Formats: sequence, C-alpha cells, structure tokens
Amino acid sequence: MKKFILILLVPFLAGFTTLQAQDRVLIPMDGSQTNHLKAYGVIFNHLVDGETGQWLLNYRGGSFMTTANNDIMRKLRVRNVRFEALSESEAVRIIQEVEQPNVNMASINLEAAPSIAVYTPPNTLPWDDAVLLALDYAEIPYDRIYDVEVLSGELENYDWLHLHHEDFTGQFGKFWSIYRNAPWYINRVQQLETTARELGYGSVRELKLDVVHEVRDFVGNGGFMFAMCSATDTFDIALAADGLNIVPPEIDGTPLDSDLNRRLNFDNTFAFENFELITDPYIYEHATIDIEVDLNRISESLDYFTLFDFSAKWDPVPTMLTQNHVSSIRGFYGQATAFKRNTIKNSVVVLGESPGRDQVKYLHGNYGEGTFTFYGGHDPEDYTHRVGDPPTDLSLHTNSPGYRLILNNILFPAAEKKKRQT
Amino acid sequence: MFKRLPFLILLFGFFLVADYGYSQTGDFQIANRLMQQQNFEEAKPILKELHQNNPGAYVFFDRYVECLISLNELDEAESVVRRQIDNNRSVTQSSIKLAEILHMRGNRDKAGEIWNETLERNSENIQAYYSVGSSMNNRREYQKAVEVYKTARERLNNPTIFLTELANTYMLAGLFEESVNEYYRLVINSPEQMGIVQQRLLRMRDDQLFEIAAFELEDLLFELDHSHAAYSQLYQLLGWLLLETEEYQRALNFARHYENQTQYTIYSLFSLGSQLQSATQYEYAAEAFRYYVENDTGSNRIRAMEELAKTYQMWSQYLQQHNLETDRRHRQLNEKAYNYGAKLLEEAPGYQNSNRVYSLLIDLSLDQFKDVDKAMRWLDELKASSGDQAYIYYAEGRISLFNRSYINARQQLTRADRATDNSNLSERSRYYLSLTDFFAGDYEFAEIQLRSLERRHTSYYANDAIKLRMWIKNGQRADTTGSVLKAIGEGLYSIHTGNYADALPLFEPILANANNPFADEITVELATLLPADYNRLNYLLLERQISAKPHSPLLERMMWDRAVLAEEIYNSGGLSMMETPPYMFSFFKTDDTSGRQLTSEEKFFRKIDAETTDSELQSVSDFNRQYISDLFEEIILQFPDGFYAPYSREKIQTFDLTPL
Repeated sequence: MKKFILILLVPFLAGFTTLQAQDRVLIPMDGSQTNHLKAYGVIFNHLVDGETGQWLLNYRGGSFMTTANNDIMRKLRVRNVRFEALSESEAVRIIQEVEQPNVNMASINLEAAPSIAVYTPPNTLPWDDAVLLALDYAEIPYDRIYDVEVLSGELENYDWLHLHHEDFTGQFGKFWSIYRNAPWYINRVQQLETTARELGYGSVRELKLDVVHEVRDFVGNGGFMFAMCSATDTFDIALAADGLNIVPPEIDGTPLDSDLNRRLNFDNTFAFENFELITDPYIYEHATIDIEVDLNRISESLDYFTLFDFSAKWDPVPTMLTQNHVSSIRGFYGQATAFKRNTIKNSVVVLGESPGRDQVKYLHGNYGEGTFTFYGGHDPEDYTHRVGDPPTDLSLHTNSPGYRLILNNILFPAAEKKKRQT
Repeated sequence: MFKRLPFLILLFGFFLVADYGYSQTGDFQIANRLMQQQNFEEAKPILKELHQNNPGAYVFFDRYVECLISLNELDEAESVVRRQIDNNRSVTQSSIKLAEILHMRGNRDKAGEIWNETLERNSENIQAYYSVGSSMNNRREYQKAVEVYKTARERLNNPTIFLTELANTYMLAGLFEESVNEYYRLVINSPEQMGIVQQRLLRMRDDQLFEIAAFELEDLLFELDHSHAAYSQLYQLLGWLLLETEEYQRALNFARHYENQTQYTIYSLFSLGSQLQSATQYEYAAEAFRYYVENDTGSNRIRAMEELAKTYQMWSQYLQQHNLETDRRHRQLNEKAYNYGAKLLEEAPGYQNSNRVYSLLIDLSLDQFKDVDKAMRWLDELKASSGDQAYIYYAEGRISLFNRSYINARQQLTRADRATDNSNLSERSRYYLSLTDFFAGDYEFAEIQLRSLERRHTSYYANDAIKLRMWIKNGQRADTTGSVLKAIGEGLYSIHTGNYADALPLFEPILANANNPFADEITVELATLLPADYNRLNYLLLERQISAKPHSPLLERMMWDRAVLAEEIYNSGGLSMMETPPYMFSFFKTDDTSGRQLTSEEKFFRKIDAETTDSELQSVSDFNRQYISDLFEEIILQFPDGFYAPYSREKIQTFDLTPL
C-alpha cells in the first residue's frame, strides 16, 4: 500500500517541482542590446524591489540575469530594453559556461541596491551633470545632498556618493575670469558665501575643506565615491592643501599663502601626487593634474581612450567597473579631462587610458574600507560641453559606452560583499 | 674743441639718460611678464629697484605694491604705501591703495575711514569717486561702492553720472532689479545707448535676469509717458525680453496697452504679431492682428485681415504637419483663413496686396477643400483685377497640377518662379514644380528643384523638400525600375486631389508588408492627410506599424498619431460608433494572414479589426480614458525629451483634470 502511495506521489512531486521552477530573464549587454542605459535602471529597480540578480562579467558585454516576473517583463518592454526569456536549464548552462576556470568570466551576485546620494547644489546651474542625467534616464532613485547635509553627518545614511562638477578648493570653479559678471556666477558665489557664514566658516574654502574631510571619512568607513570632471582633481587638491590659502585674491579677496607648491602634502590625497597648483585666476585650471586642452592637435574623431582588461575571477572589482560592449570609447573634454600619468599614485588602479599619450581617463582605488573612482571629463556624449549648453538627451544615446562606465559604478556596490573585497 | 665741449657733454648726458630710461623700460617689461606668469618672487627685486630709483613714478610704485600683495607681504606693502603718502607722492591713489591693504588684512573699519577721508579731501573730483568706487568693488564692498556713486551724484549735482558703474556694481552685488533699473535710467537719459544695454543683457543669457529685467521694465513703462523719446526704444527692449522668456501673453497685453495709449496707430501689435508668427505662437499672433480688425478702420484693418488670414493658414499647416490636432480643428482654421480672405476682397477689391490674398484663397481651395471650381473662380477674379502676372502663372500652374496637366503645370510654375521677386512665391512655385515632376515620374528634375529648396533653412517648404527627396532616393534605391515610386507618386497625387478611394489601393501592396521601407512614412502621411472617415483604418495601420517596427525612426510620431486618433475615436463615441471606412485594406479583413507573430500588446489588448462585432467591442476595455492616457504616457516613457513629450504631458494633465 505504502509503495503504491509512493508511486503515485513521485510523479506528483516531480510535477510540483517543475511548476515551482521559475523562468529566468537574461538582459544581454552586447551590441544586440537596444537600450544599455535603461537596462541598468531595470536591474537596479529590481534589486530595490527586494529581488536579486547576477552580473555575468565579460559575458556578452556584462549581461544581467534574474528571475522573470510580470513586473520586470513589463518594465523591460516599456523601456525598450532587449531581453531573452530563459528556462532554468538554459540559465544553469550559462552560469556553468561563465564559471569555467579557463574563461575570463565570472558571475557576481547582486544583492541589495545601494542607497545613492548625489552631492549637487539645490539651484540649477548652467551645465548638465552627466551622472544626474544617467540616473534620471535610467530611472534610478537618488537623494540630493549638499554642504549642509554633508556637514550634518547625513552621509552615513548612504552607500554611494557622487561628486560631479564641483570645486572643493573654494575657487567657485575658477569661472571668475570669464563669468565674474554673469548673474548665475554672482548668485552662486553669494549663496556659497552665505552658507559658509551661516555655518561659521570664514571662507568658502574652509567650508569646502570640511566637506572634503567628511567625504574622506565616509569613504574610509566603507563608502563608495564616484567623482567626475573637476570634482576629481579639486578633491585631492583640497586634501593636499589642507590649511593653506590657495585661492587667488581676485576670487575671494584674500591673499594667497606663500610658497604653496612646496607645502602641499600628498600623503593626504586619494589618487594624485607630485602636482603643482595653478594660482593664476585667469587660467581655467586648478593644478597640473589635468592634461592641457588641445582641440587643434587631436581631431575629435581620433580622440579615444581604451579600457583595460582585468581578470573577472581574480579582480572582479575593476572588471565590474570596466564592463562594456566596446573596449575603446570616444574621448570627451571637461574642466578635468584626463589625468597626467606622472601625477597618479602607484596604489591606484588605472582602468582606462589614452595609449601613447600618457593620459589616464578612468581610475579606481581604495581608501580605508571604502573605494573611490575618478572619471575624467564632463559629459561622455558631448565632446566639449560649455557653460550654457543644453543638457544631453540620453534618449539619443541609449547605447553610450561612456555612460555605461558611470552606471557600472552605481551598480557595483550592489555586488555581494565577498566579491568586492579584492 | 673746447667750444664744442659743453655740446658734447650735453649730448653724452642725453644718451646716458636715454639709455638708462630704455633699460628701465626693459626691466619693467620683464617684471610685468614675470607677474603675469605668477613669478612674483622673481619680479619683486626688479620692481623694488625700479620704485626706489623712481619714487615719483606711480606705475612702478603700483606694480611693486601689487607684487608684495601677491606674495602676501602685507606689512611691507603697507609700509611702502605709507612712505609714499608721507612723501606727498600720488596721495589720493596711494591712500586708496592703503585702504585696500588694510581691508585685506581684515581691518575693514579703518579701510572705510581712509576711503571716506580720501573722498572728503577730493569732494569735487569726479576721478576720486571713480577710483574709490572701483577700489571698493575690487574689495567686494559693493554696497559701499553704490553709496559712493550716489554721493557723487549729489555732491556734483549730476544725477546721470556713473550710470554704467552703478549698474555694474549692482549686478556684482546680485541686486539685479537695481542693476537693470540703472540701465533703464541710462537709456532714458541717452536713448542711443539702447544697443549697449541690450548687448549687455544678451551677453548674460540668463533667464532669471531676463525675467527680472522684464518685470522692472514693465513697471517703468507703465509710469513713463509714452511720448518720451526713450519710450519706443524701451518698449522694443521689453518686447524682446518677453519673447526671450516666452511670456507671449504678457507681450500681447503690453503691446495692446501701448497701442491703446496713443491716439495714432503705432503698430505695436502688428510687429508683435509678425514676431509671434515666427515663433509659431499662432494663437497669440491671431489675437494681435484681430485687434486691428476689430478696432481699426481703413487700410490698417484690411492689412490686419490679410495677416490674420495668413496666420490661420500657417497655424493649420503647422498643426497638420505635426498632427497636433484633429482634422476638424484644421478645417476650422482653414475656414477662418478662407473667410477672412474672402471678406477682405469683398471689402477692399482694390487692395494693393490682393495678389497674395487671391493666392492664399486658391491654395486653400485646392489643398484643403479639394475644390478646383472654387480655385478657378478665384483665378478668374485675379485676372480680372489685373493681378501680378507671377501670381496668375502660379495659380494656373497649381490648377493644372490638380487637373493632372503636368506639361502646362511645369510651364506655368516655371514662369511664376522667373517672374516674381517675392521669395515666398518663388519657394512655393519651386515646391509645386518639384511635386509636378514627382507626380509625372521625372524624379531627377524633382530632385534638382528640391535641393535648392532644402538649402533655404528658413523656408516653410524645406522640411517637405527634404522628405520628398528622401522618398525619391529611397525609392530609387529600393527599385531602380521606378515602379515603387510610381505607385507612391500616383497614390500621393490622388490624396493631393482628394481622391482617397483611388489612393488607398495604390498603397495597399506597400503597406501589406509592415517592414517595407516606405510603410512607416506612408502610414504617417495617411494619418495626417486622410479625413476623419478613415480614422478606424488609420488606427489599425498605426497599431500594426508600431508593433512591427519598434525601432522605426518615426516611432515617436506614430505613437503620437495613434494616441491622438484614439482620443478622437473615444470622443466620437468609441469604435463601435464608427462607420466602416469607405475603404479597408484586405490584410485587415482576415486574422493575421501575414504570419506575423502577435505582439505582447496584442495579446494583452484585444485586437480590433473590421470584423469585430459591437458586442465584442463592449467587452474590450481598451478604449477608455485610462487606455488613452496610457498611450500618451508611453510616449513620455519612451521619448521623455522628444518633440511630443510636452504635448503628451499636457494631454495627460487634461485627462487628470477632467472629471469622469
């Protein structure tokens, strides 16, 4: 009798198991993908909803795999993100292929979506912020914070912090020479000076230095920092010039300290060393970290930088940060366009450079328990974005490899912890 | 020789001095260059020596002090300046420099005292006020600088001095209202300075500043007598500011106010109307011209009627080109244009621009009403009124084209183009000439005409020219025999002449395959050009095309057309209330004979076709308000910054506000 019942139960259980097997969805990130940027948003929001997924490093451009449900399928369709429905066995086969020891691929579990903060002033500025554009387009939620919030200790509520076109040296972006009479510049200076005064600082430089210290401590305690454009070099300059007045008198009315370059302390910095400050208020550069602008020498059509290859299994972090469907990416200018190789510390990992030109475009490093990534240039899809230019329409650049690097940084903190620590 | 000795000594002395002076100049240039390079340490000894050797030379003193300040050697800088004052050398300038140094050291009160003392000592010297004001600006003491300039006006009894300096100082201080008011004061005192003020504002390119400037200027003009010499200039500036900030209603209101103020016509609304036309703000433009139609008499009224008719026509064309409104709305606007044109000719048969009006009426008769008899009547009237020959040729050409008399059309349109010096008529002639060649199958000639039209970026026909040329290119690429283009040409001709039932069978073979290179464009053309009777057909076509080609470059446009049609269908009572169109494509009559897989949307929403019964329609939930709202939302999701995104958002807001 018992045998009879068992014989009846087995097929039933097998069928039940089959019913329970979930379908999977693969979001390819190679050239077949219709909208790479929104794909990041879909997978990010999937994690926000409590789901998990996998990032298949170096598999078809760094594809994503997750369980299929109505919600994600609808999102993918509405956002025109190409996907492939897989059965469980197909998914297992792909994982096995990726995990083979002789291939440079790896599968990284994506767990919880990071909470994102973007350091940006509350008022509109006459230039776009590539990271904000990417986040908005990919529909990834974030909070805006600025000086008051940072100095109030709110950074501890976040996992990931973005800094874009900021000037942490207190020189208001060094726009003084061209824009000192422009209403937006006047407003910005006044607002910052008012904030500094209200918070008890003698100058904007001192205010920004404290902000830099807070961010430094945030990273040291395990936070992720991503900086682009002038936020990259000015962050390190502020750290190196701690306690020195490096702001020309034309800009803030106070005289410079003497012998500045000899007194810089490069032990404090994250990524850069052996640089010199540029204190001429008429020059739109902060230091010798940034490469020279030379629009005439190199044609835009030939200006590229190349991503390095890393071992997906042994170096998952830089591999995650360099996932892309192309290996060479079009260059783009910014206030800090790219970094001179001889100013980069040895402890830093170079992720992308312009070969033969000693210019590093994209780098990554560790500080304390956290990490930072610096990406030179202002807007990956605007070769020379100037003040007052309209913001880039990302719906025209749905497959932008330059923007993918930004979004890699957003997703990377979601990776399973043990994979991150390399 | 001894007699020459004094002369020689004198000569020697001259060359010695000259040589010394030359070397000093050289040293000064070197020092300046070092300063520019921020090499203050190297510049300092050179400038120190120059100053010590020439204490009376202000320029050496000034650069030396600047160098010390740059090196943050403020003690030394202060002592050098005090020495200069004590020795009575350039006391005023030195005092100002001293104030700056003290200010830099944080001793702002003392700095203020010295500035004030300097002014007290030179209370009648305008240059002193200027220097002190500049110094204060350098030290960012803007409020103090403002006080100085105002004091200067009182003390020197001249309310117009330092207008530019005050305006600039207010701007630096972030006091934009005060700044623009100073600029306006400058214009009031010297109207010829308007160009400078406008340039200054234009260079700022700041929306916030423009808004503030517009508000302040409006208030000023309400108070200023309209007979003031500067009023007209300031009004022009206000108009420009309001158009830049897209405040069209305000621009209209003020222009009306200005026009009402004066006893004679100043044409403020007239010129604004033309500007609004250029900005495609046709509703406001019509309002502007209507003012003269309703309130004026004589030639102004007649001219306004012509502009009004033209505005309605342009408005309809704009809406139609982008399919922003229903067919009914286009008709309404065209009827208004037609009625105003006809009324104008009735009231003023001898109107000097009657050619243009006749041309407008003929175009409307053919393009909108598809009524060649009407067009012929207007042509007869044009001829009887001894109209301009170029316009007569143009009208004859258009009618010949309508009647498929291509040879006559070519001749007449070519003559029209040659005979006219009116660029608008020339462009229209060329466009219809190219259309004639296209319909006649002479694609090479058509391309030649179109190329010249495309280059005229401001031409209304440039976009149509590009579109037609692309069709010709793609058609020739797809089929070198020209049969595809021939079918398209025939089809478009039938639509052009209102023979829709003849046109649709010609397009059917092309549209049967959703992936045909012309399928998208023809779908969009039909959605734009077919009347409301064909809404059901158009809706099905658009649904089909959107599903089949999700990566089409015309996707946004097709999605918009579909949503607008769905709204129109819903407002007409739904699909069940619609008549079957006079013609229905055969591929809609059977279930999916193309072998095409149903899309996810088709699975989700019930597919509607010509065979769907009323009871089946009742059970379908797709044509409710939510569905239509979702259609517009989909456009925003896919094209958040697209051309139709703002219109879609408006539609969704309208749905949200309208009660169920």
